[in-house]
Amino acid sequence: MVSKAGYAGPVRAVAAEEELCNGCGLCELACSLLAEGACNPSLSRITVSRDFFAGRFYPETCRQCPDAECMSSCPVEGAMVVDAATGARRIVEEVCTGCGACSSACPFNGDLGVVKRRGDKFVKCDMCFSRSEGPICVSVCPTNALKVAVRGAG
Amino acid sequence: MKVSSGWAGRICFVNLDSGELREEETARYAEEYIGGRGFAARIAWDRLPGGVDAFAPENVLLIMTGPLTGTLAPTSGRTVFAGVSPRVFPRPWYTHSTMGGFFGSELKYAGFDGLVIKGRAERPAYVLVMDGKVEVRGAEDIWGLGTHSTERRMKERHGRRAQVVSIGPAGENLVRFAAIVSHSPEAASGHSGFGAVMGSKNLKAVVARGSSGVAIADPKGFLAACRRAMDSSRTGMVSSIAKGLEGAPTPICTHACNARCGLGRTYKKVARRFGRGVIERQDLFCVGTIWAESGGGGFGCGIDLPSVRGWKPEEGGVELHETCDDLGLDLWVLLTLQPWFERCAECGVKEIGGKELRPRDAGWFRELLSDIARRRGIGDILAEDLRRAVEKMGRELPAPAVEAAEVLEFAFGFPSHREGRVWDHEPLPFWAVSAIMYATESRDPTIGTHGYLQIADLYMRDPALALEKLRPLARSVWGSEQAAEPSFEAKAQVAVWCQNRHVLIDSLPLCDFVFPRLIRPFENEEAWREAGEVLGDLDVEAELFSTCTGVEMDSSELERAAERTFNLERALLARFGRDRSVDEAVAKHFELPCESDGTRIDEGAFRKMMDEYYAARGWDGVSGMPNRSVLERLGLGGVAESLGLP
Repeated sequence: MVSKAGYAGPVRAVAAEEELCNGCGLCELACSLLAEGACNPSLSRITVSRDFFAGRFYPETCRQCPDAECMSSCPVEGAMVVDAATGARRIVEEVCTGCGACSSACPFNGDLGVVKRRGDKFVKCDMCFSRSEGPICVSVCPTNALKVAVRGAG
Repeated sequence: MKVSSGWAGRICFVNLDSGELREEETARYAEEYIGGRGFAARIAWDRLPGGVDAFAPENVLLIMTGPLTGTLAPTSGRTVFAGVSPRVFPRPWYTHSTMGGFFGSELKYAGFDGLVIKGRAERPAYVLVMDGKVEVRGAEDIWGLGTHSTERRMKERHGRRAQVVSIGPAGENLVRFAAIVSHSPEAASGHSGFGAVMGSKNLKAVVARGSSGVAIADPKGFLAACRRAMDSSRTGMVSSIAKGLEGAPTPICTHACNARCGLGRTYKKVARRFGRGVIERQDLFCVGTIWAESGGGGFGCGIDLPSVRGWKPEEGGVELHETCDDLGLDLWVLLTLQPWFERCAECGVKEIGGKELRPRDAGWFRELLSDIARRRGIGDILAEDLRRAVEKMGRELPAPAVEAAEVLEFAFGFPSHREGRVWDHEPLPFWAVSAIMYATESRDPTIGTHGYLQIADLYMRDPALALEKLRPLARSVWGSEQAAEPSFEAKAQVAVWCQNRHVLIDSLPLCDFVFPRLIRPFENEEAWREAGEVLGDLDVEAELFSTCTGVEMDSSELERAAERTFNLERALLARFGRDRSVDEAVAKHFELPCESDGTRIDEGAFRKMMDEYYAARGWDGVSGMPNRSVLERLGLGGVAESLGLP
């Protein structure tokens, strides 16, 4: 079935295993370094939630939803597309008007954020679609808490 | 110069007397002092009057980060604290103390490379650094709380991502070894007692939250440098339980806690220990392996957790650790007080200050810690730290108990460690380098010896084989093959090298357990046996620095900056009466035999090593002060002037 995203291939998303995450934050720093040229957890497309007292660490990632509400809510033609190789729902920076509809629509956008504002645009995980080795967060995770999960159809 | 990458760009000066806030551009200090310990030394030199007491409002508490803090550089998430330390015995002087964890990174994300806090707030206060703005706020409602509750309250008020450093009752009550604690159980600035300096300033906590990042001048080059750093540090003081950056088999937490490899597991186990059984030994280890292929943990030096040293988890070690953190006490109190009490008990002492002595009983010890933090009963005397306490109680104590205290904290009241006699008994040549460093630093210098100690485990396995490999290395790094030999020859230049490299590590900052990379990693013993060149990667710090900041400086230029800082620290110490005679007061300790090989050094031989040290530094052999020519070479002519040097 072709989803609202208009893409029927397999979809890849970064999946996190809480039990393995040690909260170090390498994923956030590598992600923002690659995407922004700065180490900045606030602009990382993956966010580690840390509760030191409970000993709980959890990386919040974009699920690249089958019926991605961020995409269906985007009012601007061509501002959100599906990447042909990874199936990632991605924001096209040049087209994005920064209205924020995607961010408000995302049901998983907690206080730390999956779809984040950066200046007058919004940014989200694009599965490092232009990086041949795949998402950098998965590459750098020292404990194998992050994996690329593949879902059959988008 | 204006900094654009690496550094955040601003340092904030907070005056708690007046509430005045002032900012300076980091660029003023950046290239000459790098960051962290270097910034602290320069700012302290400019602002700290000689002889000022640790608890005087004129003392400054410096909280500094460096260009690598908050970046992907392995182990870079460190924060440096500095100021006049109340712990120093017999008289306070300027020193430093560093901490891992997440606070320093957040301070930079909030827009500041450092804070300089002076004065004393009229009422309990905390400093809030929020996205470029600094505020002093009232802390009456959290005064008296432990560090755990303080941190929780601050996060409830300022958001989950806010990072907090705070003091507990120990700091409030001016315990001389009170710590500054951040998200325990792993991050604290302990030994130097700066928790009590915060207490004396009525400063309960500093809270930071920011959404700016650390700009990286050359992101691609920086990523490659990070990978190179990981790859070169697969053995030694590093665990290799998992894969690390881009597949390199080393996990190093960017935020650089002491327990980075076991970091998350440690938190989890501490939080859930009642449900999931006790903490396992390795979970509290940050150390690794001799051989890269052999996985993590299991040998060598552990982190300073009582559950590893002295107290096992089943004896209540974890709870003792937690108690120290919550009260805001330096954890090492357990490693000095406990053996000291044992010694007292051996000498037939049944009670101390009316308190029955039960030093192996964790419950008794926890109660004592609480008494120390609140200065109740005997706790009030012990809160002055062991050397001062023993001085006070002297006449009531048997002589061996007094001597034990002098051994346990032989150097200026700091815990003895890695000097071959008390904690960790590396044989010659290792303790000889430690000895010179103990004599010439402002605190216990053992963290700075880790670079040289990377070769200790290889040496102890097979000294003959190790020397065969290490002689060429010693020649190229320290200018003499003798530097690796188990003798007192050519140890001064090793000490100078360790000190300069360690200042650099504390300035960038990085973790001294990992850097400098003196030897390269070997997959296994066979690879070591067959190896020709064994030298590690001593330029990786420069690569990280340059790609991060865009400021091109090679290793020798960075070492020169570190040398500048070390000399400036020495000049600062002169304001507090430090000279050669003070340095050599530690010599007596090394007349005791080393626990592992029985070697010792007499006063004459010690003085000879010291002569060589002052010569290697370009310091005056009589006063132990830097010569004018050295200061001028380092661009510190003004310092020479102010010291009135000929």
